[in-house]
Amino acid sequence: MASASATHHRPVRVCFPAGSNPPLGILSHPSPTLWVIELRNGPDNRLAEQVLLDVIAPALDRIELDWRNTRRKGSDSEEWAPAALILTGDLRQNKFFSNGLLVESIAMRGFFPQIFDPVITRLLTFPIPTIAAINGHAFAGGLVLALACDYRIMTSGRAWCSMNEITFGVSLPPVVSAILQTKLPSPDVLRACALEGKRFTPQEALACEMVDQLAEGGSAGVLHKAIEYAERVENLAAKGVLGTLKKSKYLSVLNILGDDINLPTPHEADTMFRTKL
Amino acid sequence: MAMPSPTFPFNLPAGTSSAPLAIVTHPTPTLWVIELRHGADNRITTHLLLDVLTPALDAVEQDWRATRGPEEGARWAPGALVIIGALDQDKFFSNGLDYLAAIQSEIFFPRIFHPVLTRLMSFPIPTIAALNGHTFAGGMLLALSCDYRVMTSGKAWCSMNEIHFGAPITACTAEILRAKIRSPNVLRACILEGRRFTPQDALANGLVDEIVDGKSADILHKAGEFARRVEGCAVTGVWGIMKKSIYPRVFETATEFAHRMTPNEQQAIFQAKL
Repeated sequence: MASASATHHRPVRVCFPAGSNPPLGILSHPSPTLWVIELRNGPDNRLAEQVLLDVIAPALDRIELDWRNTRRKGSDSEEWAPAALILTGDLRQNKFFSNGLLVESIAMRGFFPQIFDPVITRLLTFPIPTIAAINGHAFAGGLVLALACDYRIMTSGRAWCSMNEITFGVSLPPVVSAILQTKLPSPDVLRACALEGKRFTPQEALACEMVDQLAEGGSAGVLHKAIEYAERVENLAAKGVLGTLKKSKYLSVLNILGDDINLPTPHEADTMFRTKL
Repeated sequence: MAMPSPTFPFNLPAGTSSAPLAIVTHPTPTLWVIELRHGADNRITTHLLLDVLTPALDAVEQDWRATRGPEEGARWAPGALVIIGALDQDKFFSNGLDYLAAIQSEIFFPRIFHPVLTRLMSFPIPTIAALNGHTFAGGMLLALSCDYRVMTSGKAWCSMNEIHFGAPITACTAEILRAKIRSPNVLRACILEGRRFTPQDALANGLVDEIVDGKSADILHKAGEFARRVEGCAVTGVWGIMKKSIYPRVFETATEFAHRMTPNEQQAIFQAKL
């Protein structure tokens, strides 16, 4: 299977929101098969409404369009290029991956069904492999963002993963709860995480398989490891069915949205995406 | 409209002086204990569920809810509940339902047994089952409905032995098993094979959290230590609501409407019922 020659690849770097300075997020495409979304919303990288709607959503659109344009006839079926997406926090610091949602967002009527849930479930079922490069604390919504990815590489340094809603006396919105139920590796981890609000160190997160690998060397080290991981899994995108398989796997989450769930073939998924544009 | 605060210790059924089916105690400001004493093997009957366990849970919940401060946005006190078999023996935690009697009644599972299990599954303070002996079938469901389990290291098994006496399990109890049991293979061994787990097996497979040497008093003591570790989780009043959120299928299949209420609403609803 041929991939685009590296010498013909033009690295892409797009700031989001469009025209913003400084950007809240940067989308880059450093190699033909690799995409990186770096979120940069302030010292603790909150997933503000703008980050969800004007950074993550359009970045995913751009990646998916570009990747779908690689479609070509293979020997026995249609094929797409290998590809993988890394989602990371601000690479210029080592403290936070993301500190989650803003209090104002959570209080806003309709925020979850209309803003958060659609973005997070899009990421959850994205048609190319996704890797969260957890380069710092991942709290609450930040941990959910990381769990929505297929894989997690975490810094081995001083950072925790936790769901801290229990300490605030708030329950979990349905999609968040469903993601925890389906992505956390066992009932005892679910109990410790959601009920006890346990702060998992990187070593604990690795031991219970909440994350797949640890990386030394701060944000740069985490990104480097994530890129190595991406190179191992990028071929999963090639047959164009990864997104549909994720939809099947995560039906329990999608069912909460109340939309019609369809499980398209690769060709249908491609057509549907183009129709939406 | 509040009832007078329960005074501990007390016997159940209410008014029993000799041979109570349960003794409910409050040994520390943050710990409640329900000791079940229903005959030699602690069968879970309709009488035990309705006239003993339900009022016991009511009393504990009422007592804990009364700890909430009066000010706006106040918190509750830390708290935890231990449920244990009879303390003057070491053979049984519970031998499960009186199955033949249970199946005489159409309403037993949906209206009598499931409500107690789901009450525990969503109880507002951490619950610890102190398995001071054999834990079979309905007894194991009772144990799994609690948040944590400590078990004797001695001669006792836990199992779901329905497969061996030809009984199906309900959708709700299947969801409890699925919610609390670590993996498909353990679930298979448990439900389909009716495997008898020794304490060591149970620990290795995640069915219990800790095993304890000694007699019932020692199991109770260890459960109390466990309780101290987790009692603080109760203070924001959302422990039970959070459980309803992360174990939704249990409540959906018990036909209970899993309304996502706030701690304030839940407090008010409970007090209105009294």
